[in-house]
Amino acid sequence: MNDSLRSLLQTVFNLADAEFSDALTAEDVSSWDSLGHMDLVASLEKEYAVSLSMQEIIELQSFADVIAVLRKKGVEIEG
Amino acid sequence: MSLLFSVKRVSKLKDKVILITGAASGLGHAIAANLLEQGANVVVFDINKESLSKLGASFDQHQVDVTDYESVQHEVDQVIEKHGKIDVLVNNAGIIHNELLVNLQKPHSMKHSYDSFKNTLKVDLDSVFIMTSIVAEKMVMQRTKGCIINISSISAQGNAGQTAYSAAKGAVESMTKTWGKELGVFGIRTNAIAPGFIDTPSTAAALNDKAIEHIVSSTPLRKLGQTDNIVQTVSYIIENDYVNASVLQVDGGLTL
Repeated sequence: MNDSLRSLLQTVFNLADAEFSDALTAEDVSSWDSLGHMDLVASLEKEYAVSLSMQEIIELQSFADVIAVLRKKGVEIEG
Repeated sequence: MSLLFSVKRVSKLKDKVILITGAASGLGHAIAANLLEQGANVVVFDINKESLSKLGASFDQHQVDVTDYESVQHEVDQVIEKHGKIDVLVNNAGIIHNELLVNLQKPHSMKHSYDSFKNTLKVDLDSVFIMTSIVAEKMVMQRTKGCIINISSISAQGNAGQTAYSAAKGAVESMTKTWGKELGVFGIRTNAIAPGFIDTPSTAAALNDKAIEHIVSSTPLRKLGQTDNIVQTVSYIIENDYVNASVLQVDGGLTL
């Protein structure tokens, strides 16, 4: 995962380095509630200059989903 | 040699789509007229058909009861269809209700009517929730960096004789701060204006001369506010994109 995306996710969900893993899902992250989800969408759109559809917003249920959606929007993500 | 520059201020409000509730008369109308003058597309929601008919064609008029969820949803959909978006929502519609919690001068019916309490909350509080939830959904889904302005009142601080009105306005201020935090991530700002006593026909109707004299003498500026003071504050909030989750007191320094 890109450093910038990792940093964004850590900031949005207030995750320390030790708590972070690419495999985390919404269920694993206590701060990934409905408000956190709004923050995630707004932060991704701002950072990567993309606009997420309602379907894409719903699909974001894990960090893997985040990568998949960003790639679908043409954003290059390593890993 | 001096150079003369002709500087024309271009209003940030030009071409904004601004929806104002209760704007067919009174303070709401003054706000609407000012925004129209500044080049905004002004949409008026009001329940009073007669007042709406006097507005003129410059306003996009909708007769709607803002306490009726389905009606509001339908009319907001119509606005989006016509204008494509809503940039600003001003929740101005409301009623003033004066009633003591226990009135010793009414020995056979001393207690505050529960019906009047519920009705005041419905008009002054539910309407703000209904309007904002429906408009904010549009703003979020369209990524409109919108602005929501709630007209509160100095009575939110607690005003004797206004249990229901004070409760409604206090809750409106709490919702303002909550929405400022929730919607802020999408660049949607929510603020409230809490006017003190403004020199309007409704103030004159609600208070007798003695009460108004007392208010004036208790206000550090020794005068009632003018409608223009509130109109200017609405424009200020729309134009200043760093004001969020705030309640702007426009009351001449009066504390209740």
